[in-house]
Amino acid sequence: MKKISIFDLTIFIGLIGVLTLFSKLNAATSDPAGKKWESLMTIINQEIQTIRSSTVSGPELRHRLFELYSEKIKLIKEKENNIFLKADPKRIAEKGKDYFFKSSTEQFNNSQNFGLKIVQDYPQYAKNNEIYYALAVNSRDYGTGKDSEKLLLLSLKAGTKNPQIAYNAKVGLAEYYYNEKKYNTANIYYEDVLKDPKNEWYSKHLYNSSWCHLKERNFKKALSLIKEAYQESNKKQNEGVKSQILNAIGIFFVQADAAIEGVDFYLKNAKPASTYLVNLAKSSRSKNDFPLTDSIYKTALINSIQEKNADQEISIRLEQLEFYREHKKTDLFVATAKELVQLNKKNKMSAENISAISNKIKELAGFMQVNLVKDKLQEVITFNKEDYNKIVILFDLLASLDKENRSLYRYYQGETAFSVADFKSANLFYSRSIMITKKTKKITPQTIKTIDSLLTSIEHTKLSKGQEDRLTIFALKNYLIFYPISDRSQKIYQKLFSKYFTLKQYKRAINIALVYHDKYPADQAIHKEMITQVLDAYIKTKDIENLTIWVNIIDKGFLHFPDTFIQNSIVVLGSLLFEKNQLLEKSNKLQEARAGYKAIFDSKFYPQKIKSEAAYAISSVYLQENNSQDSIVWFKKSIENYPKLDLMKTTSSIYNLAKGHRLLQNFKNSTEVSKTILTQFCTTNFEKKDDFYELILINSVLEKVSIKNILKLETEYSKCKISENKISQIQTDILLILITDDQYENLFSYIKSKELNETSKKMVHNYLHFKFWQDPKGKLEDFNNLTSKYPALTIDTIISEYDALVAYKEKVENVKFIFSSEEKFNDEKYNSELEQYLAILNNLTNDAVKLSKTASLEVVSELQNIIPTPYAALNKSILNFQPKGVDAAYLKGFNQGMRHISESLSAKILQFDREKMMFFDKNHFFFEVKFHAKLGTEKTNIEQILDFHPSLLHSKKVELSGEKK
Amino acid sequence: MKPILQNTFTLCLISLVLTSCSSEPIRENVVYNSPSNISKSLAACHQKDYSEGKENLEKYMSLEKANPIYWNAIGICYALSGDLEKANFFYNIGLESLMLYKAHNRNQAESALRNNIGLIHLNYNRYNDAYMAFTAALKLSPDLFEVQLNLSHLYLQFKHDDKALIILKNLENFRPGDVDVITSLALLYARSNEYEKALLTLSKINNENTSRPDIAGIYSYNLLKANQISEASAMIDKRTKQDEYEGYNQRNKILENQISAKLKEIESLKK
Repeated sequence: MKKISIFDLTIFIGLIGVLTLFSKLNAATSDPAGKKWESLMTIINQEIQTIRSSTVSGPELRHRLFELYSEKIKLIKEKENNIFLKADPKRIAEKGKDYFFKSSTEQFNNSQNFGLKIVQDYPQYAKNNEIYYALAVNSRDYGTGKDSEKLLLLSLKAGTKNPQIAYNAKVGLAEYYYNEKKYNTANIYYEDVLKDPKNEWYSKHLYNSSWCHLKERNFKKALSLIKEAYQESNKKQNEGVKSQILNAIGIFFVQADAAIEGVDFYLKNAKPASTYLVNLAKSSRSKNDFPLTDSIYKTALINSIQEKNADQEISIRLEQLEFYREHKKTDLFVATAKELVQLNKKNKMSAENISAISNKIKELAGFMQVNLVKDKLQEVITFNKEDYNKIVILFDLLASLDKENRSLYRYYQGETAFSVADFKSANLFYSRSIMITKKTKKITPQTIKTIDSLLTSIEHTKLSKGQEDRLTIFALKNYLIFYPISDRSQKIYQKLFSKYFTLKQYKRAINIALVYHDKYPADQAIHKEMITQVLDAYIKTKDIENLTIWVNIIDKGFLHFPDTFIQNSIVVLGSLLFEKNQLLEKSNKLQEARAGYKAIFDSKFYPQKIKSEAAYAISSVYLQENNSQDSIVWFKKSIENYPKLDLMKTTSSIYNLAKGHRLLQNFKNSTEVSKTILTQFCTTNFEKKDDFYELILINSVLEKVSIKNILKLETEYSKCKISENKISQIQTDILLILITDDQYENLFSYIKSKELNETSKKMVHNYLHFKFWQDPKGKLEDFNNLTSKYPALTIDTIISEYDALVAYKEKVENVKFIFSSEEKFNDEKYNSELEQYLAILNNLTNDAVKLSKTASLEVVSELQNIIPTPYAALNKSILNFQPKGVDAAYLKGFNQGMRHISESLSAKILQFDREKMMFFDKNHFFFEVKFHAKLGTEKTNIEQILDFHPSLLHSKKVELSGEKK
Repeated sequence: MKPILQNTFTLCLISLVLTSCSSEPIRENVVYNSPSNISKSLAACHQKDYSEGKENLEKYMSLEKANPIYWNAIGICYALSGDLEKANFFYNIGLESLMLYKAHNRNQAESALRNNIGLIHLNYNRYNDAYMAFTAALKLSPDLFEVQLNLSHLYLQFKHDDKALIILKNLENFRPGDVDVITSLALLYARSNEYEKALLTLSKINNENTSRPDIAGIYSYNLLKANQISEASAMIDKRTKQDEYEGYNQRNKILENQISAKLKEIESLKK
């Protein structure tokens, strides 16, 4: 409350004669440091100078000087004040405020002393009351004001009675006492002052007096005075007070228990009334009469709405919020808050208003939240459901009003729901809070709390597995979005990865692993484990597409996986890629399988090794399709880029491929495959290495490659760490082929300058033995030459055996069984010769037996052919011999005796023949050497032509077609 | 993760033992998928169209790889083309395939292969080896006509006439009109001077077959020995020139001279 002072006016009254000065003074106040100020100061100083320089001296002139001095105080003070306001605060602090007002203080002290000196020197001066009044005003305005009361009282007593000065002094005293809270004393002077209703300030004095009565709790008097003051203020001269009365009168109505009258007053007198009604309501609140105050607020509200004063409406509703909160009228609070939010939606409120509303709502919501659950330790939580709903609504309203902090309010809603164990709702609120944070990207300390709360709430909520997973993932994922790096992030990455992995959302799992890797590259071991898990899952689910992508990535060095792991992964990928095609192969859908492998080969997505494997598989399928030529083409494509180390691991398989070509009668391709592998890995040990060597050589022999080139191949590839045993075995096998195919010349080309193993030696020896005995005479010279060339083949034993046989045969052929024929038969001589011949036979037989003991089958066979011939010859000689000079009886007896011997010899010949057959049977040797020779080499008789029957010509192949018989 | 390198590359490869890629046992009836193809291929090879025969067989290798009869056919084509080394190679693959061959005619198939290997031995005058092969073949499939006949020829060549006779008499019952059996029996009878019997046997041969040099020869010989000189002369004159029987030219020439001499002798006696 500010009262109107009339002291200022008295100054002007004192200076009424100096109108020019007055007008200039007013102008100077608006320009304290300018020209006008200087001009005014000059006028004052000139007048002072004029009065001082006057020889005439008296109380009137000194009174005038006092007035000029007082005026000068004002001017100086204005200037100082201007300087002070512009001064550096540091300087003010340093120097102190008084430093800036030295001149005015000095002027004030001089002026006051001068005034007091006047009344002291001229106690009977008629205008001393004016001087005292001016001193009082100066003291109040430029001094401490301590002596104002004394000076005013002196003004009432001194000088010639001047009603106007007395009136002013009383007004001054009333105001002084009012300010000193001496309301009763003040009212004593006001009573006098108010006796002049014509005073232009009458309304104001009524108003001031009403306040004094109000302070003295004279409520009815106070109301009466102020109402009168309002009536007086309607007069033109008192208009200035009117607004102050309208502002204040509400209190007076309330205090006088006339609030309803106050409402009517305002509705009647104030336009707009709502502002004053609010004040009335405010005042009414002190009466603690809720319905009364509420009705005033509502009247004010209606009024403001009718006035279409939105600001006022907001203001009233704000008041209402406060009012309802005080009276715990939460329903009304919520309803009012809703109205406010609606208002805000219609017309955007000022930030100040929004802040005010928000604060009020927050205050209540916070309070209600704290008090919602009384005993949180109870197993079954009890709470007021209405309050719970209201809290939620309040936070909804806050979220609507204060969009900047929407996330926070959703979090509070979540906390509220959590506190009453409404976990489903809590989950929803927390989630919304997180979503808002995600959208606004405004991370606050509450953000992490929200996520933690959501995770805890999820644990408490009875959710389906799917719902729980979705929510948990939501929380974890957003944690990482908000806090990609934090003290807990590493664990969260792992948790989220596990969650995705468990849910088989492998792409998401792997994405999390990637982000984790990006943020925490040092955790590479964990990242590897994660990727490994996902790769395993892709393998398990046969997700070839994703496995391909990841195998490519790790193959290019991502996470530095060990090479063995990468290779194994490629192998696994290969197996998955090939699995379908392998099944097609098994189902004999070879073209489809081949097309599948071709697609793998053509794709740019697969690692080179897989492509090489695909090419290999195509080669294999072509082989199954009996297409050796295309198979070798694809084999070459496979080999081109096949990693050497891996290729070396597949040699066993390639070996089978090589053999496959051979089964397709394509010995060249079989050899080419073998040469490719053996050449590539000549110095390294690998599976089937010896076998490739075997294929190269045996294929070449079967392909009738020249012996010269066979030997070159042997030399070239035997250097490739082929085992000695294999080299030796292949040598034997080659010899066996040459022997089987009767390549007599090639055989010698091959064994020339070669050291044969024992098996080979024996085999070649036997072959030569066989060849020799096919045509001993024809081969003899040749074999004699070979003996010295190939001593290791022991050809000499064949020849020596033959020589022994020939010698024996010659011996047999040289034996002549001729009996002496004399004119007179000499039986003694005959017997002697016969005995001798039989002894020769016996010796020849013994020789043959002796010879046959170490001889080959051919020799024994020949011996068995030779040995009967001397027996036959002797037999013939015996039968042809006719003794001479003997009688018929002797001759008969002789012939009879010789027949016995002949029969015995014939029996012996037959025995030899049987023995020969037994020998053949025993040794599986049925077809004698002599029949090897072709017919016609010797002169043949007609019977002998029957012997000619070349079995080869007549023999037949067995040709089975596979048809059932 | 387990490495599966081996699995990846164990891609149905054909091995010499001819196991299937799926490691399933070979089915017993797998043999009879393409008998006509085998017959057709053999026919081509007999007509000296070896490339067609072999290529035709090649087309069915994967299907027939477990079939010894298939390998036998390939061997025959190579043998007919004169490549006995490869013939022998494929016959031996056929023998290896027998390890897993369970069809009812397994013994017959092995017998065929052994017989045909025996023929290769015969080609190189390895009579003992041929004999062993034929007897082994016969032991497996005693009723196989060609094997019995081959063994009888071997016996005949080496004058084991009694053994040859047993076989040929048996074959005569089995195939009474077979020209080779008849001719061989006639030879045997001639060797034992049973000319009339030989002529009786030879009379079963169709007239058109008597132009074959070996048949004309043995027929003529028996006629000569039976003193049917002019018939003998007519018969020897019937012989035609056939390359594969070239070996008989000399024999038939001797015979022809003998008959000619005999005719002259008769002519002079008439004079």
